[in-house]
Amino acid sequence: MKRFRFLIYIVLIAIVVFGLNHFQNQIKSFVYNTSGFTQKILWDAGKNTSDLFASVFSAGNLKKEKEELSCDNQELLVKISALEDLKKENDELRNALGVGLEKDFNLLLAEITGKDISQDFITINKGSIDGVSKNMPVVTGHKVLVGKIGEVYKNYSKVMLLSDKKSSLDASIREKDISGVIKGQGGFKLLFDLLPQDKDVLKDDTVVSSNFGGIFPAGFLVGKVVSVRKNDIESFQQAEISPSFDINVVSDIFVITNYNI
Amino acid sequence: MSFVKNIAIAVTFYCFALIQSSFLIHFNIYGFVPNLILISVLVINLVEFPEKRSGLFFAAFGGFLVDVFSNRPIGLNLSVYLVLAFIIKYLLKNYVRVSFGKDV
Repeated sequence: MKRFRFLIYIVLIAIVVFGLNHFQNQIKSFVYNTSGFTQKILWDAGKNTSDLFASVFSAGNLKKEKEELSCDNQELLVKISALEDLKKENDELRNALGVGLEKDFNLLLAEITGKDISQDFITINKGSIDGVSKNMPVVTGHKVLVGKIGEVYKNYSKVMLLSDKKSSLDASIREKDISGVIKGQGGFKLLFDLLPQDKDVLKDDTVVSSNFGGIFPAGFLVGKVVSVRKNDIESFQQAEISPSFDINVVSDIFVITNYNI
Repeated sequence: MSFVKNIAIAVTFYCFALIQSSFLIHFNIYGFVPNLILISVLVINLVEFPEKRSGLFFAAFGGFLVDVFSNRPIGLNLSVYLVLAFIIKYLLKNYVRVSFGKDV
């Protein structure tokens, strides 16, 4: 009798779970609509509080940071003078051709309201009603690649970050002819895989997206090389990448609504 | 009173779901964020009398909330939390002699 009752409970739970899954979109859409406003307030409060703690705890490193920044500043001043001529020429060409981020793509501004605690997905306050659809690329205003739209609800969407374990994209190292594949590792970590053994990949190399796979537009910033794993036995070398996108800094992002996938 | 207490705990779970997905995210340690709902489910089932059923309902509700705010299908965390609650109750009922349970 006891076993029979236990089986009935199992069957009832299975039916409830099946029913909930059938109406998953409607349930999640309703919950996001109800909670969206509160989530946005909590998101902004969390960002401001973490900024405050970060400034308090990093006070001890200020002197070292100042010295490092002074060195970087000197190097950048040298680069700036070399680039100024190029910039002038570039501006003239851009004016002539009329190109730019907002001119190349249709951008839809969205705000981040939350993040999945176990996966690298964020929630934004734009959905199907705003013209968002699955697999649309998501970027910041500074041409940093964030990820792509994973799930779409009526007023909200889930963005799969580049660091999610299911995410991968073709990328290359800026100013070097080195291409590979970026694979998400979870926990905001990226791995740059399938790098040719004979190429020199160095720390602080800048990684940008390429459009070989057709998933993301080319030339968007992905991150910087943190460390390189090179082994003579392996066919390829790998590099650990620090993503340029930081959820603690950015609140507003853009969905590219007219990139053909 | 018990009904009011149950509603209060359910609302608290909902608040935890909002806090952990929007506020605590900014305080992650190497990408990990404390799962307040899971901690609460474990505490409730450990503290409650093994014969009581309310801990199981809270486990199912907590799992449901975690599923809704994640990208996973509804039912995954719900099942996991329910199984965890069952295991805790079974162990407490059959293998733990010290009585520290209370009516939650």
